[in-house]
Amino acid sequence: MTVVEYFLPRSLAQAVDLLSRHGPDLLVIAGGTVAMPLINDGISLPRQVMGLRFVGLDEIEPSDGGLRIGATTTLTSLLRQRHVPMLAEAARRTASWSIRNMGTVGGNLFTPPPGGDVAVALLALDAEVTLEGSRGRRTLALSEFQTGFMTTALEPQELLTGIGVPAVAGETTYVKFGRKEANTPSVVTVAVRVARDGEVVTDARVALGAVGPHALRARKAEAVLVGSSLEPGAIDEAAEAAAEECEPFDDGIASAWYRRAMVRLFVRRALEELVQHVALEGR
Amino acid sequence: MKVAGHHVLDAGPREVFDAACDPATLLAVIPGCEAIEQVAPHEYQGSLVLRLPGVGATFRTFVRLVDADPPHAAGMEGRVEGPMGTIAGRADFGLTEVDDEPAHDGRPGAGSDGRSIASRTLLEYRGEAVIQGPLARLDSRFAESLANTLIAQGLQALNSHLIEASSTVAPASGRPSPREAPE
Amino acid sequence: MGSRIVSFELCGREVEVLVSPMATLQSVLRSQLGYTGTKEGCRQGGCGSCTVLVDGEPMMSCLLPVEDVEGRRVTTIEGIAPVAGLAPIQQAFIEKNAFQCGYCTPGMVVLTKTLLDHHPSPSRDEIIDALGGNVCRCTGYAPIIEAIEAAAAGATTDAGRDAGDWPDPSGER
Ligand SMILES: Cc1cc2nc3c(=O)[nH]c(=O)nc-3n(C[C@H](O)[C@H](O)[C@H](O)COP(=O)(O)OP(=O)(O)OC[C@H]3O[C@@H](n4cnc5c(N)ncnc54)[C@H](O)[C@@H]3O)c2cc1C
Ligand code: FES
Ligand code: FES
Repeated sequence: MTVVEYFLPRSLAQAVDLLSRHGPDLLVIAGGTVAMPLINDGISLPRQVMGLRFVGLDEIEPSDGGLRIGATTTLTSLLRQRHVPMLAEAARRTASWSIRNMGTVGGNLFTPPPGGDVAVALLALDAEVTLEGSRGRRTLALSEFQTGFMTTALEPQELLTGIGVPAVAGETTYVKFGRKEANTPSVVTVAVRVARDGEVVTDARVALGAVGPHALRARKAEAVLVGSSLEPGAIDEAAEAAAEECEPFDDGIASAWYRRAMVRLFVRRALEELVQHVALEGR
Repeated sequence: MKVAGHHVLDAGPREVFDAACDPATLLAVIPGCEAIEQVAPHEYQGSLVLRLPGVGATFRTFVRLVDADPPHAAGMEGRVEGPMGTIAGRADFGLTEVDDEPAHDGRPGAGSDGRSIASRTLLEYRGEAVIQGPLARLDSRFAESLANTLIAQGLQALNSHLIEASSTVAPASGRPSPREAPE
Repeated sequence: MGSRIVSFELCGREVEVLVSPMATLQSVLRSQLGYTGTKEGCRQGGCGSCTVLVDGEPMMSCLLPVEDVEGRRVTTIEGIAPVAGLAPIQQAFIEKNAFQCGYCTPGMVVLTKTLLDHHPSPSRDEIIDALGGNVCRCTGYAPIIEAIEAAAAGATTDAGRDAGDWPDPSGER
């Protein structure tokens, strides 16, 4: 262990100040469930670390029909909230009880694939992130925040402070497929949201996880769905489009080939589930 | 670790080659690049600050251009050193002019310097590197995916830079440019 | 800057430790406080053998800098056994043959304790869900699930064995 200083600021102002004083060599951690394994393994060798557990960014509050989620809200708190069921489901399918008690929603947006299961749901909900630092505060769409594999739009002097989920229309489904039932790395994660006017789809989001450098929107699949009435042909075509446009990789969990095949299958299942669900609700 | 890919840039091979040998351009386009200096003709050293999740580190980089055949091809030997280990390798680039429609996305028309800015360049690269130190214990997918991300971001930035340069002043006229250094 | 003093409540008593920056709770418990009931498996958050309760909630002590538990209440397996005898959960693990090598057992028992505190009579699915982060490499999960069901139903031999058969893990009595 090479850490020489560990800071635990008690407010955001303190945290921002520490970050601007110590510069980019200060490693920021929140729940530590991504960073600590790397540190324990000697892969990450930080000298100065700042923990965000006590900065007070762990509130979830409804706002304008949507939700404001503090960056250090634990996955357990996300699971317990009742406002946005898809987010509770995403949290339920992420890691295990003890890890959810530690890991944060903000941290999930930095987790390299096949992690980042909550980010996938947030992407389908058009979430925005709030970044704050010594030069002020700004808000960015989540889709612009994640810029590459392990890279984000976060500036060196900034912290992620919150996630905003707008009041969005439509029904949602969330499907995570892994090799085991629980506590499993994802082969593919699919979050869909579909808004309809009568039968006709007016707006659609198909977000994919574990099949690209970060959570991705399958925009071609979305385009197929808009204007359709989710008939089987449209669902098949959207699933095919998603399988084509995803950017899967090989790892110890699955090959790129298998991941692509599972995108086709699980996008279809997610959409079928959504249709079924809506049919039941309609009765 | 191996990387390979290609990218089309909205400038001719000469402009691309020159930009890629200009420290000021490199500083502007390499993701996380905090400083870069030329230490010898075709040799550069610099520092990269990458706030990677869970890691966040400063890396020292050394790059040397070898087997340069301006503006068609070049090899690059380099090393990236940080607390997590060292990545050392070599990459080869090929630049070919592509003839097709004038560039897309709102790029202005003919340049005042008379250069045909409608020309575009296909940049092909292929590289191999050895990872040593703690970093080597990570799945090589991590280093490869990260390298691909950084290359893509760097080339995108380079392209914006080239578009900007061609729409303002011809890049060679303003400041003294180190690429003019004797071979 | 170097070491600092961290104090917290450990199994009902106040402890103070001088720790180097970001030492994990796991290493402090095992190496500095002699609470070796908390095991060290993967140190990656992936096995659950280091599970402890912080203010009653399960966490992986291998991922927790000890400074983060300053002023909080930490419960390890040592705090679950009564001063004399065994907790009903422990007794249930014995009666259902829910361990072989026993390496996962402290984590399993600590987790069960908090599960039953939250849900006195969990369904089988809830038990399986709760156990998702705790790995057993030799016994298999069926006997463990049965033990938890038995403990929840209060269906164990009361009070357990004579405490004298078992060494006191914290070394004090
Ligand atoms: C056993 C195990 C199983 C797991 N399973 C899953 C799973 O099924 N699905 C899944 O998606 N993930 C999984 N994870 C990964 C992880 O637990 C979650 O992604 C979690 O949400 C990460 O949050 P954290 O706060 O713990 O991250 P940390 O480790 O605290 O943060 C990681 C990095 O993100 C950056 N960061 C975090 N928060 C901020 C902030 N507010 N401002 C600036 N930078 C910040 C920092 O660079 C930090 O170093 C698992 C992890 C483990 C150990
Ligand atoms: S040692 Fe902590 S989870 Fe394995
Ligand atoms: S009893 Fe050996 S690991 Fe569970």
